[in-house]
Amino acid sequence: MTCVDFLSDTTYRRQAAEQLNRLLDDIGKCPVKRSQIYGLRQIARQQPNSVDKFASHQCERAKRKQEGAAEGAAVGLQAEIDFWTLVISLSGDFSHAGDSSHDWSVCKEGLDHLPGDLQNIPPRQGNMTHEERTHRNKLCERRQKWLNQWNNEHIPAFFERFCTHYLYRRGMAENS
Amino acid sequence: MNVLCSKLIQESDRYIDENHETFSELGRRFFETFCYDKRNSRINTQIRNLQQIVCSATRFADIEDFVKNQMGKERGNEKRWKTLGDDVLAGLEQLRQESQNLDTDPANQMALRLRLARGWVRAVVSEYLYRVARDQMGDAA
Repeated sequence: MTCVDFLSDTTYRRQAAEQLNRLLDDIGKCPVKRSQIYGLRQIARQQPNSVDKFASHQCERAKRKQEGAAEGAAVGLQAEIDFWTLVISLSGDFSHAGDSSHDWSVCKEGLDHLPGDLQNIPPRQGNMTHEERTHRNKLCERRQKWLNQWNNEHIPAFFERFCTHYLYRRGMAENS
Repeated sequence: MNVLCSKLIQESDRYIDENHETFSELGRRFFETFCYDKRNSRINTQIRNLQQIVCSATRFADIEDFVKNQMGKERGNEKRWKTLGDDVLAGLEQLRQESQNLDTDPANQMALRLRLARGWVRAVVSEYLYRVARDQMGDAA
């Protein structure tokens, strides 16, 4: 059993449902089309490191539309903006993982799983010896590689659960 | 995949036996909901698809996602899935719960979930096929 298998079967399944249910119950509808979700799922599978860029682009597009929209349409577009903001916070790159307004993200999960020697890399200091600097640079490089690898495996696994749960909620909303 | 000890295998098999009636009831509902192609005597592909995903999945959540995906579709069999999909998901949730009752080790729980799901789908599909056969015998008589 790999880490991604286990998380996909437990934490990612639970988080995807919880995060989406919270948002959709709050806004009272499913704001984005199926085709956008298919696009999100495809990006997550093929270019996991581009999910936040894709979501940012969708979010900006909705914001531009909202500027000139009538009041009723603007409310619908705000729901769409909220949806893509959630996607950004769940997938955002590691530099933002520490200050995300959400309490959980795939990135934060990755930081929790970092190997011990990559967790607390000392900050760069002026009085470091050449050996210390080289050692620190190597640790930083290994940390970045490890985190990129994490993203490549875990972003697709999480968004598989996320997109499926959204489609399920949308299907059930159409039924009611 | 984690190898389960014989004690856990026995306990999971006992759970499947004890709940056979409940699983069969779901098989009966699958028959009523999806029926089969009477002209060509072909069973509904959704049943085979469900069986296939349960037997090949390496993650239990992939089985749950299969049901959710079917229920979330815009066209096709989604209306039929919507009538019993939530009960299927509730049944799967019970299997998930049982895997946690049987053992505390996460790797064992994953393997147990899949084992329970395979026992579950055997009972569901068997009942469905039995109903199909009875229906065909009734037609022939």
